[in-house]
Amino acid sequence: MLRLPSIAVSFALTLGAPLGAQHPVVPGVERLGSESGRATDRGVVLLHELSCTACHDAPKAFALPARPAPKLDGVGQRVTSGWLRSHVANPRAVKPGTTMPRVGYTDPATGRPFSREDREANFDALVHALAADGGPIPPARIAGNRALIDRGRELYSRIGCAACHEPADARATSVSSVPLGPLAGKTTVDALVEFLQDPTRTHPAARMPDLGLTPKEARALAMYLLRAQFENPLAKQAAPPQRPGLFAEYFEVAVHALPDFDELEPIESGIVPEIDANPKFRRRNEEYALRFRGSLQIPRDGDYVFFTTSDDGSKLRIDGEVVVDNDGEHGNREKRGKVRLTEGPHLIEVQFFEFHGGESLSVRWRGPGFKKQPIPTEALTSRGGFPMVPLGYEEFAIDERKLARGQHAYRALGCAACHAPELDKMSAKPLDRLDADAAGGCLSSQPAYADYGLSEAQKSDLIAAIRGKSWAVATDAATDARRSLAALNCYACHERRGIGGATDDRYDCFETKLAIDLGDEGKLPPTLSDVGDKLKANTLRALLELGKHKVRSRFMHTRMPEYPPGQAVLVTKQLVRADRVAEPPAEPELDEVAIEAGHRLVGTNGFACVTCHNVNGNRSPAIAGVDIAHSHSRLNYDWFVRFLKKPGTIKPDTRMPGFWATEQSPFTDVCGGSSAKQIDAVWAYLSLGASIPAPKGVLPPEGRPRLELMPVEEPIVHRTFMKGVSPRTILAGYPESVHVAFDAQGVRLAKVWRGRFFDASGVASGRTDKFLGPLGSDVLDVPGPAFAVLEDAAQSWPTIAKGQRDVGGTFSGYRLGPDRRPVFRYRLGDVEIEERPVPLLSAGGTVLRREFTLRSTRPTKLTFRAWSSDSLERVDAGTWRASDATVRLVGVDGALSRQSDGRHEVIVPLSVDKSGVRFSQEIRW
Amino acid sequence: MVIQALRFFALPALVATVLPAQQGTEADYYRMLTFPFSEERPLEVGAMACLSDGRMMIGTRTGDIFVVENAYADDPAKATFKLWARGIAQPLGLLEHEGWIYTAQRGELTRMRDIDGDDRADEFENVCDDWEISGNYHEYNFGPRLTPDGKMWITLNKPFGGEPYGKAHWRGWAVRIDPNTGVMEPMCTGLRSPAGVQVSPWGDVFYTDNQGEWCNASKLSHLEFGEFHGHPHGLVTREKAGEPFRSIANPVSGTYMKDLQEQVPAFKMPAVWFPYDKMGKSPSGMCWDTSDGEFGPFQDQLFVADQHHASVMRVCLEEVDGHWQGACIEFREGFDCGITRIAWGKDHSLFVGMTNAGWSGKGTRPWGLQRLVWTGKTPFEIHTVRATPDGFALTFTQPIDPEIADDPSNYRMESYTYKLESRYGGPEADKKNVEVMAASPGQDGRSVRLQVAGLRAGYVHEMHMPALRSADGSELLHSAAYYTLVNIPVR
Repeated sequence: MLRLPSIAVSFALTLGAPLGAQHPVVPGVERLGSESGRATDRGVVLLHELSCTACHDAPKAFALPARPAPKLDGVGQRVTSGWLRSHVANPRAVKPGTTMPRVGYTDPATGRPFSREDREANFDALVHALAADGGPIPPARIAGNRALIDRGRELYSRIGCAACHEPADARATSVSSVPLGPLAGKTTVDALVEFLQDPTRTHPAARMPDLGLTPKEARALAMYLLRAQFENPLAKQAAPPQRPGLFAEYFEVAVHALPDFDELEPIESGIVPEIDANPKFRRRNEEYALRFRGSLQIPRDGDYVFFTTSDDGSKLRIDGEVVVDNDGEHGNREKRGKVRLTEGPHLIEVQFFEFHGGESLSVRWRGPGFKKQPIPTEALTSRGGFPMVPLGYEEFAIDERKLARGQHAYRALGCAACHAPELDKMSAKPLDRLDADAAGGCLSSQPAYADYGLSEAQKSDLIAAIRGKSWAVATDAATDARRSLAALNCYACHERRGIGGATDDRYDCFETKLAIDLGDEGKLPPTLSDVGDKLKANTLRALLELGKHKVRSRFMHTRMPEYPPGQAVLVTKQLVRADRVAEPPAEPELDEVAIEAGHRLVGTNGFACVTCHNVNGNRSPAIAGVDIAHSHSRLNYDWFVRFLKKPGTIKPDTRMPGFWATEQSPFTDVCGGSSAKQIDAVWAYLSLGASIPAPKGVLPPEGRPRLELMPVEEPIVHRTFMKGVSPRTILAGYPESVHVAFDAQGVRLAKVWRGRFFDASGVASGRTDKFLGPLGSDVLDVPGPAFAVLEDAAQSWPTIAKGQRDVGGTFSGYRLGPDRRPVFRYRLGDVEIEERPVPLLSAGGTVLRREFTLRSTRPTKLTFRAWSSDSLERVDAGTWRASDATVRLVGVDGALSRQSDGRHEVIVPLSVDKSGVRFSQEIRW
Repeated sequence: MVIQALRFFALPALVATVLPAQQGTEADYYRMLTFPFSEERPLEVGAMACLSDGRMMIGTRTGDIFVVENAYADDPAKATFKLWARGIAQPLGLLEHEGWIYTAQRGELTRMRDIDGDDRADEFENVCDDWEISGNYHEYNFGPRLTPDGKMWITLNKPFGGEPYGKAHWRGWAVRIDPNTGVMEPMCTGLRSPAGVQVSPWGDVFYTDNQGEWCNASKLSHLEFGEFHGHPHGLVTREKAGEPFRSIANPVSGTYMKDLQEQVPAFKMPAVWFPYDKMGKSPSGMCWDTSDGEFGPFQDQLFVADQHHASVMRVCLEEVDGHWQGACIEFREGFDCGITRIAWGKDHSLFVGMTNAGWSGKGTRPWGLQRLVWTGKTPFEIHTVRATPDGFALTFTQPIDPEIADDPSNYRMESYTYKLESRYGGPEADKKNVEVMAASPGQDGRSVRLQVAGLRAGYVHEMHMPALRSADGSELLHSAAYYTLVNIPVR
């Protein structure tokens, strides 16, 4: 073993770092077991995970999720120069267990060791080159916060971090932890927050995957991981940074003039980007007061006039002096005040109160060289708390000469082989010609070029894979899947066919959110033993890539991460190929009688599935497991049937009882008592997905608004404001759980969605000015307007700007049919248009048909636009698939595809006269 | 309110000497019937109309329109509410006309009807949507009200605060719409919060406006084409409106309203000012007494509701020198909630519809429906106040005690006026005592003429007469009147 460079030792000691595992940690490999029969598996995964093939070409690529090395672009912005210095000299000194080898002791060009001076000079130069890329790291800005550190620890222990990394209490574990090393000297909270929110941007291998953290969660986690910085004495010396925005406080008082704010206790406070009467944390719009404080950047010396407009009173102070006094109870009123100011920061304070009636507050200014205008957000700042500063942090100056040498060393020492393979390829021996015993080779006792610190077991696994010519051995899908799952360390959380899953010593890193006992099913991530047979392939891929279909997140703290598209596709293919039964039976046709039977069986007047399951957000009165409204979108039909017949044989630890174990069901009056038909009926019912009607016995969704509109018996037509539509929106909600928003202002069908309908409180309670969106899910924006008169086929389709009126015609009204479904009526030129939305029950969620009837007193030409999207593909004569929906036209010919304004459109030229034109459009999404 | 009036004049001696035992309460003359209140089914009344078949129709702020069966039962719990239509955007007026029900929604004047006879509306037509809305909460629309020429009037509230869809035209206007063609004509601008609009028995249009900025005292005003009523918000639309609106200049804040016509000739003085807190705070719905005595002695007078005070006031009007003006007098208070709408039932009882939504006011409930029924007993009240060249002529509902009525010291009077200002609300300005020189009871035994020194045109004349007694010794039920003297009659 070579002596550690002194600088790394001293740095590591400063951090009090434990010098942990000296061999690379690849926990997924450990999960494959230590039996000699698995040596090739382990060796192959190691070859891949250690990036051996970056230098040693393999004759054939392994079917494993890509593992590019971290991107070093901008690394200087993320990592301190001190940490870089230690890391280039010996990665294991600051990151014990890393898969990065130690390099730079032997010159690859000559095969001779560098002199100590050359070596140190190379390392020093590399630090300058790396730090110069985007760096040196800017000082930390985010203020330390003890409560956030605690919250971060809680997150770390619960959401899955500790499944791969060391548990928070640093106890020993049977499976090695992926090392973090002494992070507190490596980076700042700011940089770590950025990394945690999007780890694959710099670490595209996704071995640290994206856990879908909110900015606040990322901040808490970063603070926890860097908690040693909190007490760093360096932090107290750093000036608290100015951050954008003003510090605002919200008070609840009933006053007729500005109160003495120092006597009051604020209810809420926070940083806001601008001064107005509605900060985000305002709770009511009567009897409240606000105070904004911070710094105003004055651009240059001169006279400044400040204007406040407020309802009710306000006061503006600069450097403690009142400049604008607009106090008192009044309507919207503007006042002004003039003050001479010098360039630079000045204290600004704005006070405001609202008694009753309307409320508003705005501040504008005028100064040398600029007219009356709002104060730009950039000019307003406030002081933050003390930031967390990396341990051992020193200012770092980049030396240009060293930088040039470092850039050369970066390639000469082989860094680029892994970190920038597009630049360089090391000319090492290909895998199939490797001699494992070669002196100075990676597997030798004295590795010359790349020293991984391999354990003897790792060496023997690698040798097994190399000698067994593993690249030449055909593997089955199950083997491929096993190796992929090991590479991605899915086994840290999931068990599959006897491998992996929560170990006893990490069992407490998995928790149920709810205060009820759901057993291990509610706590541990599910088995993957037959996952390729259970889940629809698209669902599996979407789950891996997009984080969709996470049905357990409501009750399970552990998060399913998201992976890059290539990895998701590969793993999905492997799992489906390995698991899916041959020739699965076809799904039964959707049948309304079956839907009704299923509806009953799921409810408390049937098998009461609702005792343990939520149904599309409607709550189980008892123990709420997986929401079964997602079943159709997730599960394969045949797996569902097998599972319902004998749940225990498919999932041995499940709490799900088998209701249909025999051919005869206890409910003899449903589907003739046939178990098979009843299972099909439940499937039919569940296939309605987000538009599923609630079964008997469920509670309404949690936090249901008091004024939620629920079309149960018949459709509801409701005029309101709607977000993203207009203040003249007419909603139609249907019992089939598909709903539409018709915009009577721009005159178009604007939105379609499924599930819950609408919360009427936006314009029915309080100040009645809230623009709410749909309450349900699967919201689809319909490209409108539907009709236009085009001069020629090349003319762009008219667009509706915010607030623009009567683009799609003029609105005439609506008529309710005997079924109480509305027919919207509008007129474009001489053409009277009737549009009737009709919900159609459909597997995967109810779809929408729009029935159009057009009439004109004189022959008129106009055009219907069936859809507009960034992509459109014709499926058959009347059907097009867009990126957001599939559209089918019935009863009309002559549709044309065209590209207009960069969009793909399907348009249908129509000739209308008094005999009329009728056709319909079906939208599936 | 007697107590309050006395406090105002600080005459404790009078209290001690003349308070008699005989004193009725408002409830003795007008009793209140309360329809059952339900927390689950909010009945936030925003519109009411008596249909031609006698049933009441009630529109709620939350968009439901009910037909009420058994509305006239002496036990209001027997009434049933049938949902005739729903999902209307804040209907604040209902009008039956030629087989249709008209209502002004947020975004349009709509007419609705029931085609299949199941007592539920199935056809909804857009009559006119030419006004604009920005999505601000305060863009309420009131009406429509039908004038004898077959046109419909709507008053359009101005916004307060944020306008999500940008500046909207026609806010702060009164408009007239032809229900057959849908054509909208601008009629008046300068309105602020015109919560009530009504057509008088003689076919003129009046509206109520709520005090605030540029409407510094709540008022009742007569609306005629081409006028400006004080609030400059609507003037942003003057170009679109054309003449004569185009030439209306913005008023200068701080001008006495009585003098504003010199500056802005289109400015119209109110018919009646409602002095703040003395006569409500937020006047809303109104209706003329056309009961021909079935509702008591106030035929042809106007009842005006208040959304803050949960009260109904009474107004008597007269036309002096071409201007409608008159007095307001308290009538009935103590309703459950701030009142938005009042409407006659077919039995000449007064339906009172309420909601406090978005506003604070008196009353104990957030919404409700009540009915005011005359008991048949006539209260002793100031019936009418008319202006004379040298004072006021008052009539009473009962014969008065002439011994008390002929003593000028039994009358207290002061006058004040208001400025038009950008501030919110405004004080009673330029206040002066008005000396009652002589009081002459009339031959009919029910009237008195007051000769005063210092009548001032353009001023509210507030008069108190708590000492007056009826011939049989009763106290006045309400002993104050507030006469807005815009013009002093020559004869």
